[in-house]
Amino acid sequence: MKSFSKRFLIFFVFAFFSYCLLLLIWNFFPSSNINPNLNFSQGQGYFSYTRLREIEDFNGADVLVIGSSHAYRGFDPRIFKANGLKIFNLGSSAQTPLQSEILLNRYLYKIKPKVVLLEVYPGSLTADGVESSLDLISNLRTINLDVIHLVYKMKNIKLVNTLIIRLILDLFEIETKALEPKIKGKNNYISGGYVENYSLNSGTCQNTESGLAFNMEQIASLNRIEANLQEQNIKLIYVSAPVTSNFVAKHPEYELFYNFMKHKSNYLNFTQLENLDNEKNFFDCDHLNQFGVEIFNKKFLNFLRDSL
Amino acid sequence: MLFNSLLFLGFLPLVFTIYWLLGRKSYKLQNAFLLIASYYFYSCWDWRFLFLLMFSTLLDYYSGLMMQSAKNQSRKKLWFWLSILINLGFLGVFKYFNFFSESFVNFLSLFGIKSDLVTISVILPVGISFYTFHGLSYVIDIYKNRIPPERNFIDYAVFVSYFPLLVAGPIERATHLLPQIQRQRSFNFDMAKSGLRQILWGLFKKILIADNCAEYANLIFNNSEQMPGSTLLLGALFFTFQIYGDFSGYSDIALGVSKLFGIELLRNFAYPYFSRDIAEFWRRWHISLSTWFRDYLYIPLGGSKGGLGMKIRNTFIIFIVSGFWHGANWTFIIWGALNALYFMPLLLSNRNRNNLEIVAQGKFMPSINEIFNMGITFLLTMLAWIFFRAESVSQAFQIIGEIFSTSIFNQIHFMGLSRALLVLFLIAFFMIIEWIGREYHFALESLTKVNNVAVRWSFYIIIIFLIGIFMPTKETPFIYFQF
Repeated sequence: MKSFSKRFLIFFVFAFFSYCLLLLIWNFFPSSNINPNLNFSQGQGYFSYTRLREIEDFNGADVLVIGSSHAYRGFDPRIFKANGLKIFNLGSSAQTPLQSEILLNRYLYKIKPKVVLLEVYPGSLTADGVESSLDLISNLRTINLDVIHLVYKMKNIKLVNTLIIRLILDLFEIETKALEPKIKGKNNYISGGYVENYSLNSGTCQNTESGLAFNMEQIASLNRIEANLQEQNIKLIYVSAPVTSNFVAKHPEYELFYNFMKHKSNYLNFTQLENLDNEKNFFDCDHLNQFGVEIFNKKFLNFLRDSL
Repeated sequence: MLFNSLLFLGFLPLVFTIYWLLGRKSYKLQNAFLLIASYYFYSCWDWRFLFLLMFSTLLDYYSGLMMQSAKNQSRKKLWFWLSILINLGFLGVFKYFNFFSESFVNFLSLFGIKSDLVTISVILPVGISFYTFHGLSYVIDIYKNRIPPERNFIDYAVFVSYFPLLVAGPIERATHLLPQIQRQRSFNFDMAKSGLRQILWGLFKKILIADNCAEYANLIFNNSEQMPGSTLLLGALFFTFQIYGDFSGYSDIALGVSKLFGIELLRNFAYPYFSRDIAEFWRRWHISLSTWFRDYLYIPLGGSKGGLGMKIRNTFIIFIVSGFWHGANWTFIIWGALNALYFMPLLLSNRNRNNLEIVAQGKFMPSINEIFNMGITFLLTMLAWIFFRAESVSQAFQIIGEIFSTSIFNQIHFMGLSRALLVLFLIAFFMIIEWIGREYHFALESLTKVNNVAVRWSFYIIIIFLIGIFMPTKETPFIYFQF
């Protein structure tokens, strides 16, 4: 028995290190087909790498915006600045409350905002949050226990493998030298975490998966965020950014979402904002273009002033 | 609790350690502990059904004792039938009531008689078909005076509820398992090592092969009406490997886990897809169920001792009952009947026991004749699996109709085709390892002939890495849990 346990332990250690080494080699294959459970991509996507580095040197803001791509494409710091408010946009692709919680724990003390705008839409409460967690693991400047705990909680092999790669690179201080350009196609990164896009919407909306239900982990995370902000005396405002009417029509889970959000007194719903045109004010089904952002932000600032 | 879950990853080492620590004192303590662990394992699904399992165990235990102490044959018979009917009654209510009710209403409607459908809304208790068959074989063996009843309740309860086999077999026999439970067990290094190896191979089959195949089999079968014959054939191929990887993977894990506790379970699979005819396939697929039906149904019905008519009748009965055992749906019944039909030419020509030895034993490659026979048997089996997987008989016929139409020459297309090709490569890798290891109890055991430990360990690590990099991210339950 002792000999068996000893041998097993040796094998376990040997297997673990070999697995890590193989992962490191496998990481060079970028194709998702042969690499389905590993997605370490620094500086890819829509500026998380740049945004998460900018915030490290950013001190103090009146408003901290957090949430999905609707957040970093929906709240323009230049418009807020012109109205006397300094904001930082900490949104990231497909971000859900689970990742928002980690980012708030990490940066709240630094930014010290008076208000946190938490952008929400049905997907943020129904998603498992894997996509956004991968984004954070790859692009955060350092990995802390919060991230490790999140991976443990989510029990997803893709997150585990990606975290292993990230930890190995950090351990051996291997620089990936990810230099993220400030312009990617029609997307321009604007200081303060915002992404500007002037394209016009010409696409069609995809149907959502049917029978989506709330992910209870996301709801629990939302409750923890509320409690944390309340404790620190920071005002929390939930906000839904505008999307096209086609998008709402293809996503029946909006009904469930509204039923949930109607119990929140601090919820501002701009999902179907009047005066916005599906083609001219959006660049795709659910993201405003710069023309739309200007209309939305002006309207939103009126509401924000009232609630401040 | 699934074998491929993190919870089980914590449960197994804990139970393993306590079990062997207790073994220093007495095997009786080990058995009591195994029973508690098994009941906990079962209650992780639904604790309410634990009472059903306990009742079934008590019933068979008590019936066994009563049969032995019965003063006359009629009293013995009474206890025998009481146990059989209650056991089958539970199975009937939980598994077959709605099927019979629906079929009866449909039958009446053929004569224009309208009747209200009476159905009951119950969850099928996991493993009920397996532990009921455990109990049935025990009671029948006592009735037939093959074994004496077990007097120690804990030992008997462990025989029925032993957690590695509780929910999906193998279906054990009292003559095989009980003696192992009733003796002092000492830790065997080689047996434990072999157990770990078998667990690893089982996980590979389940997580990598079955779960990846399931993704595409489900996609194709769920959209069968929009798919051409070529894509449907690929779907059937994916399901053929899904069902094998899933069930034989489960059996490997069960056998491997049991070896860690010093207990050998019955072998359930022996490389069925290398069979040269259907008779050989059924000697190699779900062996514990096939032999159960042979011993407790086929032979009591007269087996092959009677005339040709009786042989044909008995063969159809066991295949259809075996199909029905899998689930309350006509698809399973037709699957069973189709296999009986496949079997007929062999039975009629007295060639059903032709291929008893391992294919190409001692050789690396099979002969052309063997390749041809294996190919034909594989295709026939694949065709039958369509009924097993389909939601309804009409869907199965629609799929088969499309496969045998000109659309078989259409280009294969569905979302994720390029990744599906990768799964085909994994299947090819899997089958090569299975072929190399076909003379062993499980494929990875063939590594024992490699003396170099570095080579052996490297291979295990490759297997672990393949699982880690290609496993689907969602946990999928074992198919046979629903039976």
